[in-house]
Amino acid sequence: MANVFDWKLIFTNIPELMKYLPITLEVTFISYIMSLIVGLLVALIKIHKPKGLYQLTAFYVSFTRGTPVLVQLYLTYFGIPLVLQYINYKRGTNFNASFIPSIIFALVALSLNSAAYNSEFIRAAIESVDRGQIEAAGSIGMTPWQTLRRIIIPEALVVALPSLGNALINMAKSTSLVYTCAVVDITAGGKLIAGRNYRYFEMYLSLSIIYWVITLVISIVFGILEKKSKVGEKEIVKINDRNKRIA
Amino acid sequence: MIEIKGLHKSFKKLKVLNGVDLTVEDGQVVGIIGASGSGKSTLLRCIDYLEKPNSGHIRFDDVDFDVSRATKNDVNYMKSHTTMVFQQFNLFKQKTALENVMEGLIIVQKKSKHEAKEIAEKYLDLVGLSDRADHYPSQLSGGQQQRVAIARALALDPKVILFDEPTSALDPEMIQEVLKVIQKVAKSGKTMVIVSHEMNFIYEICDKVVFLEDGKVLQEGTPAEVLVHTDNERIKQFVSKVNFIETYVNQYNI
Repeated sequence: MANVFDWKLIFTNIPELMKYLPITLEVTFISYIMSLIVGLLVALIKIHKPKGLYQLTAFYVSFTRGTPVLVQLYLTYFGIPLVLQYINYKRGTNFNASFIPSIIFALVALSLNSAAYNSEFIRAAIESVDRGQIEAAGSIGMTPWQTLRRIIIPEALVVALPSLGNALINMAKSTSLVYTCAVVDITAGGKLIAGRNYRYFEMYLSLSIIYWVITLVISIVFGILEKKSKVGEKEIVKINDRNKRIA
Repeated sequence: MIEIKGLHKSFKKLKVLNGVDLTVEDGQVVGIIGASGSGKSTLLRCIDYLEKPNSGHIRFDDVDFDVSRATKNDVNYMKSHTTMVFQQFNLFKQKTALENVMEGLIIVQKKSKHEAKEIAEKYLDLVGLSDRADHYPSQLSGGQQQRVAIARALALDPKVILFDEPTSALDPEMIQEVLKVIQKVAKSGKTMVIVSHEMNFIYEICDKVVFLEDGKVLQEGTPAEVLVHTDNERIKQFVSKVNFIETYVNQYNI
């Protein structure tokens, strides 16, 4: 029974897993940024409620939140080639799905999934910005776009930061599912490596450590960002000091 | 010069402006008074095009248009040549006093950062807040915030500054410091329209006073004509309630 559990292997696995780390990080950050952009667009649609688009986004958010991300990954992986086939058939074009790098499917699925959740807190953050400042921006002649970029987003960001951090952590963890789209990230890579000696349990412990470290780093970075972003909320300086001295 | 004729504005079924006529000459300081809900603020907001009026005619220096057929150019002209000072100050929370003043200069007027800083410092000095340039709004008192807001409006050098109850949200102690700044601006010859309940102040600095009632001009004239010698019962009643006569007359022997 000497070899039931191999402590050392947990740590010796890690260097080998590192060569798959770039893929995990790449998928995490690209999907995250795309999910924020799409989330912002959906949030703006939710706020301004343009006809047609609003119903479309309502459907999209409801569907995305109502189905598992694993199923969504399969849907994009099998769905996009089907759509291309249909276009080829209808238009006589010659797109070939097999030329699409498999990572694209993962990026599309994960960013669309996360965007649905993000849109909700981005909307709340934007709506938390005091109307008066938006009016003031309009009054000094700023266009709606300038107001969004210069006034609303910086302020909404402060409100949204904790949720943005959570979204990134969730994204980092969701990337462990991208094997479904034939992308070899650290989880998929780990399974391949563990297949050599059947030490799966040790491998999953190694993976846990890596994910844990990634999410810890993210929470620390967001903690610092949160502190920095609160510049406008510094404690009130004692403006009456001088008056008191006189009195 | 602004010339407004028959301005109408309603929010859904609520009619707020019911055909307002208003003329503001260059360099004139016009006070708008009246009860709450008489449409004073809405009139200002329509001039700044924060609200879109329903109908009426506006002539303002280079533009002359019917609001129902206002082009984008007309609206932009109104917006870029008028600036509002709000009751709640509405400073940008994430920016310092100096950055608040610089924002419009850089983003709207496309001035260089260096030039914008110089202008902003000049106007912060004018409102007596040079030493608070690097403070955020949360670190300033209400009166100081309002003075920064006035500097922000002035720095853009609009043709008209609109004051929407600039002292209504302030502690009594801080009202004076803000009124002094406004008075200083008035004396510099800036065209201004002021909505305020500070009757003594209106009396003192305005060239013309307009009394608004139910979205219409009830009377307009010099401050003395409207506030002291009016024949209108409604205005007499209003003026007596805002205790203008007692304090003012006793103080200044009118």
